[in-house]
Amino acid sequence: MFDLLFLPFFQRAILVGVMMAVAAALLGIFVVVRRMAFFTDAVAHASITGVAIALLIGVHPFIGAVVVSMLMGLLVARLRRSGTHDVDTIIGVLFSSALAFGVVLMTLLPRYRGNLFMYLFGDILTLRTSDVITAAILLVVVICGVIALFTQLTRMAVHEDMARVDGVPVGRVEIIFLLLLSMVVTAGLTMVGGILMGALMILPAATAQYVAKSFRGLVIVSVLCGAIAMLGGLFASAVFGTPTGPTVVLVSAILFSAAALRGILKS
Amino acid sequence: MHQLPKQNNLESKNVLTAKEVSVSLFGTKIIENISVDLSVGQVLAIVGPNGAGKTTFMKALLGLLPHTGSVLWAPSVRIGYVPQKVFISRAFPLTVEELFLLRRGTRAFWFRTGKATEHTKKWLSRVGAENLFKKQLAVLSGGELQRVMIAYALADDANVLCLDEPAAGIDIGGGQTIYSLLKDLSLQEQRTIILISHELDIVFRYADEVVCIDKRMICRGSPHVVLTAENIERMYGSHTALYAHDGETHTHQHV
Repeated sequence: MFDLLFLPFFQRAILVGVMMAVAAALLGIFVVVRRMAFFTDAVAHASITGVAIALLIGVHPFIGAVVVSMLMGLLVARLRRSGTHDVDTIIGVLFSSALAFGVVLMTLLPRYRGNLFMYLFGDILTLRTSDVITAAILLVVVICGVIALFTQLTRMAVHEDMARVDGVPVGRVEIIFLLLLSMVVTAGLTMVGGILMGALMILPAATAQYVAKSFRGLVIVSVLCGAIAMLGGLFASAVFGTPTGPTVVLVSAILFSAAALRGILKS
Repeated sequence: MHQLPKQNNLESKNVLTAKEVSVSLFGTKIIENISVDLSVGQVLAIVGPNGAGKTTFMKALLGLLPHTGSVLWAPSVRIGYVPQKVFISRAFPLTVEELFLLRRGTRAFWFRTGKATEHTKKWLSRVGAENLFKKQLAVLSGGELQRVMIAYALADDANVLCLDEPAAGIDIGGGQTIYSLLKDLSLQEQRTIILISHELDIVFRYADEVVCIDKRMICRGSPHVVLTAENIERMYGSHTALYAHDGETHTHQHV
């Protein structure tokens, strides 16, 4: 198994995987504490439509995915704030439709039909050196963004109106957060795919909540859980010959189950 | 950035002047033409039956809802807002100490100082909640959370406190403690308090000014002057009346 560590493609997978897992876990903390779990699914599913539209009009898929997933995020945020009845149903319909539209659109592009499976379920073992650089830049951007917005996002999680009265620019913070989220989700498409990206983001924080005694603890444990699940999933997929993305999510789910069981037994 | 309209030419003692404030949501008028004036150190109670638009009016004053009419705050105001319900899920293990540190920036949050701890404990002790310093917000009772939130609002040196039903869901003793604290803050420290309540006995006991609303303004002024049987009936219906017990006035509803 340790021979894998000497293979360049596996080294790249480890580097990109861990960096993206840390970035996803950092953002996932705020997704979980702000009770926006459905939000990441909406953004992740919409990113596939973004890729399809970008391929159709000849733009880089990353740009298409970021733009469309951000638009979806803004729409979902607005719907959520509007207080309209049945908002969950509307959002459910919206992001399922976005995914369906993206898949149909991509199958209409004969040259890219083969990439569909990769965008849906990811393939971390095909990454290039340029992907390592992109992931490193993205991680730095996410860390800087989270440091800059840390107290504001946390205060919004306590109570949005209180934060607003205190002078937190809620609208602006929301847009920057969405931009970071869309970039990480889009980058994650090639790793675990659009369908499972939401899980990669939410599971570490969901696991940490059973262990952490403070918010500081939640941040540290979430990041560790994200990185451990990624490493464990990569090795497990190599050993058992299973698809990498789903295996990473499964390892993350096992960690979550263990933490939840511990929490239940303790209480 | 959320900014409240402020005007320098308000009279020196005036904290707030709101004129003919109306709010419409989804094409329906929620409140219509409500006005208040408030001076430094006063306690203003917004009263009315359920669904009268009390919270809507407070949110309009705070600039949280689009409205027509004018709302002008004095330039020196620092507002602390305590909403009616703050829901902290178990998935959010923020401690009381961490909540207070959030106001001091990311560095202070991660690298605590003795000064910050002292500051937090000072404000918690004001509301009798210093023992909650290390506790998670999610495990606090309704009354404990309310006291922590009031301390949190005060800790930013707020000179105006806006509280939406500060004693909702708290036992009688806990409620009295909160209202006594608010009265002290107004009398001893000249902090201005705006609170929502539907308990008229509380209003009689603690408020200097009252604005009674039921979508529209029913009355406005000193509680002992404007909370007449007639105005109360206009707000709550004919089954509500005023009774005096041991020198204090209470409302009772009879079916």
